[in-house]
Amino acid sequence: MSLQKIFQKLKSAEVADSWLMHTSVMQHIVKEGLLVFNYLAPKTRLCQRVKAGSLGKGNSIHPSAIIDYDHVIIGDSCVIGKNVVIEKNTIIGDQVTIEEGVVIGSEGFELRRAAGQIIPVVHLGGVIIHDNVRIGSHTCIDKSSFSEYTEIGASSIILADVEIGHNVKIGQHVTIAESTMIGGYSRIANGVNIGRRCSLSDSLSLGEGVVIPDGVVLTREIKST
Amino acid sequence: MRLSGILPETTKIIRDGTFSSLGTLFSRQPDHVVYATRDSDVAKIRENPSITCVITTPALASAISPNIGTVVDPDPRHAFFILQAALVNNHEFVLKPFPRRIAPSAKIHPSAVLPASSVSLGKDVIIEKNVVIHEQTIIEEGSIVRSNSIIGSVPAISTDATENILIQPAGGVYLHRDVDIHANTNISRSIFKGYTELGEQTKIDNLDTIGQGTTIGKRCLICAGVTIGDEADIGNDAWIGPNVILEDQIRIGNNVYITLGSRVCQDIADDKVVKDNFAIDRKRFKKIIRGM
Repeated sequence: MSLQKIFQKLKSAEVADSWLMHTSVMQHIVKEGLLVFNYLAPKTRLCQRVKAGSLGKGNSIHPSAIIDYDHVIIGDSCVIGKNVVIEKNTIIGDQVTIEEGVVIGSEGFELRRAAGQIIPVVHLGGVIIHDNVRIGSHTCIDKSSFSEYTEIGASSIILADVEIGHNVKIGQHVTIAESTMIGGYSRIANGVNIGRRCSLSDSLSLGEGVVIPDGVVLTREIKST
Repeated sequence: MRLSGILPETTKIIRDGTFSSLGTLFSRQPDHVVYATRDSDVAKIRENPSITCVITTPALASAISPNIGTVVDPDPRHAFFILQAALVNNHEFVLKPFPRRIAPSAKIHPSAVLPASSVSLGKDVIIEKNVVIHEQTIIEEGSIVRSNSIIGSVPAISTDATENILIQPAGGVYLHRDVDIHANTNISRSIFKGYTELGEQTKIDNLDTIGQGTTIGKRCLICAGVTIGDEADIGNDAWIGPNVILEDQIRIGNNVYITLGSRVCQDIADDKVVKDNFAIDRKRFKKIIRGM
């Protein structure tokens, strides 16, 4: 059983709300376990997915962009704007445009309440951005927590101020408009169109070709029509 | 200092009073002056014993208790910020500058911009790429500020009046132990002599905006895209979902759970789960939806 499956099991309602998890002994076990994991995980090889970085031809990268070149793979003909931050374990395809102030591969928002404290879960994953993707300014794309990558499919367009949570998988030809927040572990199929300032709950799945208008709060999955 | 003599000409003094600082409805510094525009503000003034003067509308003036100095203005917020602008050059109304203190174990990325003075970073603080930190910022041990965030930006005050007010902040930002601020977040510094405060172990996700003078309690989780208005007061252990908007000068209790996409425009008591545009109780919301 992979680490991710163990964590998803612990997160599920039947385990998280059971009386056993609320006993003080179990709370301390969870707390100490997470602290040990957070201490050891970054020291292991699990944390190094992209062993050696590479940079393709014909890229236009602004000098103020901060990129961890040793652990980032960038394809050909990409445009990377001012003040962009690209953290390690990121893979970027060809002809990708990244506008100003974008942060790719920062820590996800996975936190556990245990024994009266909040313990963060250290993220070990990375981000894959496929070919022909355009990412608007100030967008944040979090890295995945364990095994899978946060993925953005080919020819997708993401506009400004969008937040894409950890382990989200976005298909091809997807459009996401400004100020939309997409919760962690979501699955968005090909050809989906999401409007401005939508709020998507975590672990959702949207079927192929779904259109979501502006300002929608979505808490349940939508199948393709 | 007395109210008479320093306020703009549009104001009418009903009862004169003395004060030594400016503040919010929730702040605890002694003898401070506040402004009140809503009916619910009157009860908050009654609960806070450290308020000695109020600038308010003519309609609310009769509800203010007689031991509090009262001034009436058609636009109380505008008059209050004119008062702030007039007093910000007086050293008694501004936080004292202090030399730069940075612990040796603090990790600061070379691209981060820190002020030359009045900044304090504790043990094991991590400041990531392109972070901008303004003056009067105190960050306690173990806190992390992630890429492209801005701590202590100068808030823009817009009032209904046609005149723009140039604001010079008198306060700062205080991040307690183990606070985690994710990427592209903006925290405004307090414009009063005090701090915008984030309690121990509070975690703030990407793209959030926190208004000036706001106080957030311990162990709060604030998701992405949240906009918190000026001078709000949030209790401990709150959970605020993505894309939530909190209005100015409201109080959120302990253990409150605000679901995603809500717009909160009134106070919320302890242990409540609220949702939707008017932040109504979840059980009531379900009843209304079923009744449609």
